[in-house]
Amino acid sequence: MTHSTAYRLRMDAPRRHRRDGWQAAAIVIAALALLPLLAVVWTALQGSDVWRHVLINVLPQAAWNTAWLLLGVGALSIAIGTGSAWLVTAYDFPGRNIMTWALLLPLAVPTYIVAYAYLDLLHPLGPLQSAIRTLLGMHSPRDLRLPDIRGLFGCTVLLGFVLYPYVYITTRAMFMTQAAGLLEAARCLGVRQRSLFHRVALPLARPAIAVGTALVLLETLNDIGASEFLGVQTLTVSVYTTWITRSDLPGAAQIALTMLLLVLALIAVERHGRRRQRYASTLRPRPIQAQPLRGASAWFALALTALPVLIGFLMPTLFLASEAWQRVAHGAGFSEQLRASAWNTIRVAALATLATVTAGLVLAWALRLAQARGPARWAGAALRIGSLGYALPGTVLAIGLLGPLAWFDDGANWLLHWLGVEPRMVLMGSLSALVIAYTLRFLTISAGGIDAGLSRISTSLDQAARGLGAPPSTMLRRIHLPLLRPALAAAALLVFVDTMKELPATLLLRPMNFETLATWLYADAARGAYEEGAVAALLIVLVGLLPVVLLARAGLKYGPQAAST
Amino acid sequence: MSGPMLQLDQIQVGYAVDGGVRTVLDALSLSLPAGDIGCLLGASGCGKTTVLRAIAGFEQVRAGQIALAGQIVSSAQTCVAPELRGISMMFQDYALFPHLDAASNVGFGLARQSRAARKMRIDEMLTLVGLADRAGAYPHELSGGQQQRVALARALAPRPQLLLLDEPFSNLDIDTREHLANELRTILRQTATTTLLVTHDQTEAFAMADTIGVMDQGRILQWADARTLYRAPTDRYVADFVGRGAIVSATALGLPGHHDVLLRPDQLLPDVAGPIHADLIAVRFHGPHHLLRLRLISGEMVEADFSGAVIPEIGTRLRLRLIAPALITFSDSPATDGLIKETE
Repeated sequence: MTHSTAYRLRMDAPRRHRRDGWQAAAIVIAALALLPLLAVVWTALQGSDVWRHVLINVLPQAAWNTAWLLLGVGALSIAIGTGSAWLVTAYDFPGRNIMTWALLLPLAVPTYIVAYAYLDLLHPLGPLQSAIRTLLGMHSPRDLRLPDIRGLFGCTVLLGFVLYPYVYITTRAMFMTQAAGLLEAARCLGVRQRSLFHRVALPLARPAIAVGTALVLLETLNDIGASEFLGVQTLTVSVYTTWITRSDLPGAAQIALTMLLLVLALIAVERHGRRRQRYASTLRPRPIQAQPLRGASAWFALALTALPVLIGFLMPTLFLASEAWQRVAHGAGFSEQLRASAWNTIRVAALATLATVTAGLVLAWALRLAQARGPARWAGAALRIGSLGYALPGTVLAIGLLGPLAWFDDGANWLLHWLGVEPRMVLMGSLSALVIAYTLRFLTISAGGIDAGLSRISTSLDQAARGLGAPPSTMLRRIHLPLLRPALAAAALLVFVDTMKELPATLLLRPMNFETLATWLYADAARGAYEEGAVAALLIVLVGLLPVVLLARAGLKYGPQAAST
Repeated sequence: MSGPMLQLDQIQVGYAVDGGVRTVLDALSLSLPAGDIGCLLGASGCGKTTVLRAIAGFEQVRAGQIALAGQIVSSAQTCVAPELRGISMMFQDYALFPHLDAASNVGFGLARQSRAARKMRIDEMLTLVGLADRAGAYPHELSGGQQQRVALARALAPRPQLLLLDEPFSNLDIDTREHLANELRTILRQTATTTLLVTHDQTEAFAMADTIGVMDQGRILQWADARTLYRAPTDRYVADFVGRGAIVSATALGLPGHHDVLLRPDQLLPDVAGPIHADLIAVRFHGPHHLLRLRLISGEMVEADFSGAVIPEIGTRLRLRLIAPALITFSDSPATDGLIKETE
């Protein structure tokens, strides 16, 4: 016995310093995640015939529009998100408990759907303007002219009202966990109730606001549908048109590079915010004692918190539901295309979910194994690089993938030709391109979620399992996977829903004649034909409600973590 | 000024739960003269922090009243806002503003003063707590003890009528605790600040306070100085909670009557002619002396200090006598008979 133990120890010793298969896989995934970034830079450097045209005619206007959009949406989100978070934490009024979770609901409505719904809802011949005219006793649309929702202002307002929950979540989490003791301390030091917000709460929430706003701005930058429908020529829209209508990849990459620089700036702001947030963690979490409101002020508070829910969720969703209902009530069921795109959406989202959760598991598990051995620089870097995709706007990611995918297909074709097989587009012609793009874009959700799940499993379990003779893969299968089930399920749900909603990358990378619910809706709206688009939009919103319910039930505890998904 | 600085008169605090009210504080009264340091001592959950929060104005009283320097600040009808009471509170977690440096934290309550006056007061307070050189440090850059001192300086800066301390030492290690307790008491004396603190640790209470109230289940059982609490507890719970000792039946000690008697370890002396017989169960080294654990003939357990040189063997039967002139007796329910408190 003694002899064999000594023998095994000697065999194990050199293995401790070798990188194992898990770590190699993690590094490969990280390299894949880095590829589109490098490819954007590379392609942009190729120059293009129309670069001067882009520089003079497209870029300034698009950059100007994007800057105003970011500024406006950011300001509006901060105002709505911080204000509503303060109202529901510091004051007690009838309906407050409902508003606390209802304020999350706009998260379920993608930006392109809110724009789609309001274009129709606010159309001069749409239900709202008709109703107002009827009330005022007017007959012709010419008698009443409401400001047009199309344009930069309308786009800013709509995006602000669906994206503010990111700020609401992070700020409310801050108020919930940090503020109670500090607010009481401030009152003891002579601050009145109505001054608490600007003297204590707001300065305190600054890091949380920065984190939430960074997410809002990343989403704004990512948006293609709303700006396109509402006629705002942003950088994202320019990338899309430069590639689709001019077929100018280097030109598109040059605009994408501009966006990338913006993203880097936003991430820097977000990191800075998170750094500051850590400092306050020694305080004991305790809920704020809410000040009861009565009479008019209570109704005012209720109305203020209800307004964003009404504009960002209830109105568009109810409108879509009634439109969908009218089609079902009048019509002959659903068209062939709708059913095909629904099936396509489920198929590609399921594949992408499988790939994303697997890749996330590899990254998180390699980090866990590496940490058990000592400082895990490589595995840690792999996880961070693998998580970059969330910050990349879908169009930038797609432009970055187009080059490498084409190179791969060229190589594959050459090989197929040499083998005497009919050449075809291996990646670009199949769902693979989409699945790769979705995986890279949403990898942070699964890697981050699984990593957080793993960190809740004590490392002494690992040591016990290894001590009882289980190698890492057995340990993963018998110990960690069963314990990780909730984290895996949550990650899978979030990835599935986000994939379903994804529009910009899908538009650029889908195979010919392949439509998901999102692209079908986009095509519908682009044609100005509002037929079954409402049904598709309603389906997306309903599925999108699932993670919001999950978030509401988690009691908004995870704040920034959940918000980044 | 005549009369006490702080007066609580039969206050009641409770929360509405479905179908009734869960009472947290029940008819609680206390009175603290200006310049004194009072302490509420009790196990966690006894309601002591709620008393502080009611005095500070964060809890509404359902009955009774709280008066500060003769003015009623809380009653069933009135509740003066916390910021108007002139009461400072030092919180258990210190509640330092993480986005402000030490000087700005200390100056936070001085908003209505001129810039120069504020700066002078901040310097004065930071010097008082010995942190003049850390004025620009943020809370996360300070040690636990330093954070506590900044919190104290912040609480004292507006010259409060009354200072409330919630478990002031609970976040510190034992060594810092003792050192800071002395320092804190000196500062409070120096500034003549009327103070009420709450703690679960009797050493802290003894070290800090002029008057101590032992609390249990929302009531103050006894409000007295430390010596009286130890020597003359009026309540079985107080006798048990404060100091070591045992409550045993009088007959087990060979005394007349059917009541129970409080026996402190220093009240039993081994004596070959003593009337009390007991078996030695265990001996514990206690520094200056040993602590004997004994079983009386009745089966009840007691403890006795022993300063002799030769320690008797475990299992031997000893004879002891009482050296207390007047024993504390209880005649109510004997629920805690023979229990020996294992705290130090």
